[in-house]
Amino acid sequence: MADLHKLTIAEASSEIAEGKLSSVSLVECFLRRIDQLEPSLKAWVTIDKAAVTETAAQLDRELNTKGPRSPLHGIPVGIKDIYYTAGMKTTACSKVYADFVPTYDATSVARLKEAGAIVLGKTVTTEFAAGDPPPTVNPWNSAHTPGGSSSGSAVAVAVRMCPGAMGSQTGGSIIRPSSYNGIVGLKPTFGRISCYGVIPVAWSLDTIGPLVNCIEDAAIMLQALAGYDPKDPGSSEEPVPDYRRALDQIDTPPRIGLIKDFFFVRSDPEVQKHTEEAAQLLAKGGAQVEEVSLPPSFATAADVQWTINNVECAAYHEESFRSRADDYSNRLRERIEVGLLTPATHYIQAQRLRRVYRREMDALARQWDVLLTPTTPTPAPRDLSTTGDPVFQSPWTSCGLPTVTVPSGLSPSTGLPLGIQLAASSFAEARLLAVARWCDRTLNVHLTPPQVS
Amino acid sequence: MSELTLPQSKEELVQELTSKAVSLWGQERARALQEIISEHADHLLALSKTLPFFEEVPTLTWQNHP
Repeated sequence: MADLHKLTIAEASSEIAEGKLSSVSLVECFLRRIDQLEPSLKAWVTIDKAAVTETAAQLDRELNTKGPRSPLHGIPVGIKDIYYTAGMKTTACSKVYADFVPTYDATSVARLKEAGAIVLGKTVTTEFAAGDPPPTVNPWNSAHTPGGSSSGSAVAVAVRMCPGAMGSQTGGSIIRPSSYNGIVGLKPTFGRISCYGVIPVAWSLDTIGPLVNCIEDAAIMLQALAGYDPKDPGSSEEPVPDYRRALDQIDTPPRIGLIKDFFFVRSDPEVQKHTEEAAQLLAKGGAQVEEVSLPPSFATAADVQWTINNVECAAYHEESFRSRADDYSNRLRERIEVGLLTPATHYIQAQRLRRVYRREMDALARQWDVLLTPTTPTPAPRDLSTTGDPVFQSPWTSCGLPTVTVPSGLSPSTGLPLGIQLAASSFAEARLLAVARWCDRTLNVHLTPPQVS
Repeated sequence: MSELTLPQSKEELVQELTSKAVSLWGQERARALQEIISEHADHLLALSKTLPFFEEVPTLTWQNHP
């Protein structure tokens, strides 16, 4: 079978379940892709080829006797290198964790394995998933940042070195690199997926989710990942619906609240025009699109996010920072230091303001099927000292609402991908994904970097 | 117990944060942090000026405080 690497998870899953494709063939295809592309793109930290092939063979044998465990049976996935993986190094791309080998899997990794997915390897993260730039290269144009912190996951999925990968977002680290690389990224509601066993940036902000090539694949991965975990105090007991089935249960075009406040003001003219045109196309397709305003608490959302992020990050790193400050890169070091300087009252006030903010944003989101904004203010910047600006993604991480980015076209000035960001009310991922797929089909945009064609 | 008072100006807050940085990491490091301390002070002051209704409790972990 030619071009196995171009299969989505849903397509590969069908082929495997029908016995037309073996998991061994699939992983061997992706391992060859990695051999070919990794030297120039630097998306991976650790790959154990022998273990991957052996696991695939075991899953093929199991399929023959017991059938598939789930749609992820035999599907290889990348895992950001802040997720604990039993027996496999988890470095957070840092000097501090350079030799750390966890003895257990993060709950999310365990759930993916239970669903039959194969850990293909660990993908590059910025150091401790913070703001220092990664070695990973943007496959669309190497002079531009690939985004971060889930840099390796985004690039690996975009060039089809794997069909899906896990990322994490404390500011904009799933959605922004997904958009910069022309793929789909899903940041679920805070608490929807357990963060147990994922090295934290900031406990009350961290959210993990998949980076994939289509909305259906996001639904498949979320299905395996979502659900209560007593090991994570932030984990929700909210019931888990059938996300894939819900994709087809949208019987009328959606009601979309377009947010121009802030998001258009902060976008460059090209992104403004692009988002306006995307909204018009969706309206032409039948969606009810109306402009909506942000609530008053949005005014301090960035201050709240900044304060909580830095203080919680400082709290996590405090002990190792005392003896190993020089082992931290400059941006992260500065953020830890200002976190350590912050009076406790300011942190608590930020958390109080955040509660108001979340309530107001959730109330706004409940009035619409989804809210729509540009995903990023610009395409991926031509600046390798940054991972780009999280200013459009952070507000959603802070209020905990689920978001997805859908590729919506190429920037005329740079030829780089652009996306639209959709947000929904808390725990409305089923609706969010259904509307995202409707939007994706209506926009009918397919972006592939040069390495894929 | 002394009464808690929030800094009245950005300069006072920057000074307070810088003094603490000097005591923790010395003059040289505190000087290197001036730019981010200034940015940090802007964020903290914005919070101080927008305190929520007094009955609002902090959200530390969402699911325990729905």
